[in-house]
Amino acid sequence: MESVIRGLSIYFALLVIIRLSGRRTLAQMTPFDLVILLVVSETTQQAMLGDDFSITNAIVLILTLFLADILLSYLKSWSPLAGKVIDGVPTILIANGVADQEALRGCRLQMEDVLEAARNQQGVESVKDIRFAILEVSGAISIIKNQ
Amino acid sequence: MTLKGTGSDHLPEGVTEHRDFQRRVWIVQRVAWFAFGLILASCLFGALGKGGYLSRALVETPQGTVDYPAISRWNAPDEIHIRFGPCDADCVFTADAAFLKGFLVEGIDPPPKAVTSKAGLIHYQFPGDPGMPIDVRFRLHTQSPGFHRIRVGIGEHVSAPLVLILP
Repeated sequence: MESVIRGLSIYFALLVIIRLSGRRTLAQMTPFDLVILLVVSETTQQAMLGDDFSITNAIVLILTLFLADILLSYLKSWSPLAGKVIDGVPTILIANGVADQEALRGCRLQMEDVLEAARNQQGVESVKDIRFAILEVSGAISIIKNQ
Repeated sequence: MTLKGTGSDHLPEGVTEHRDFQRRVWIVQRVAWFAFGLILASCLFGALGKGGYLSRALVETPQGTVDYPAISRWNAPDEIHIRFGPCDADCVFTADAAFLKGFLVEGIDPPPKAVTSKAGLIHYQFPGDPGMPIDVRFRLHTQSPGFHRIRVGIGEHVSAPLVLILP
């Protein structure tokens, strides 16, 4: 029983913390973000396993995490609001060559981050050439350039 | 779907403007960051155990002091420090069953001369020293989370503090 409670507690605590910290945390990964990810994974592993390193405990934990993920995906499909709250929504960062400063601030993004994505994806040189820059739910920035 | 503010331009298919919802999320996120800071600050003060002003407490008796963890964490090591004042007779640290339910005693330095049980209390006897105080350290491992009303003290002077073991 303890394994299931530990697994669910860590799963939902991590979900809430990552969601509240902002989408940028796990996307557009800089070396510093990678360090955070590695440390978080190591820390949560210890908290979930405790002092029980048995195969049974590992299997119970894996099943717990997968089942929680499946249940959440059903919850998101049943309730659009739950989907919005859990995953977030796409954010328009640039429309018709004009940056939305409120959206950039809200998502903790710099204009340089968007321009980097524009150069990488579409070879765009100027913000004026961007029709839409959208921060997707996945954390990636999609660039649609002017025709 | 048209974009708020521009009016005329159409968003890509599947993309919807949720600006009001996003504003609320951004506010909640910033409140959460402040809460994260408060949690860390309370941790520095010891409210989450493992060091800090609030995490330790002291039982003072005429024969000495017991420095015990007031807030601890489940399944984690902790310590009780006992300082017996100079005395000719044996020094006795007293605890009860609730103490042993909350904490597993992994080791005692120096080891007690004898351990006896009487009227629901466990007495750890240590040889006294008339010339100088004696420091005893109990190395503990927390066993069950929650509030525990434990009884600890020296000799007959026993207090019943509330100890919190965080999950």
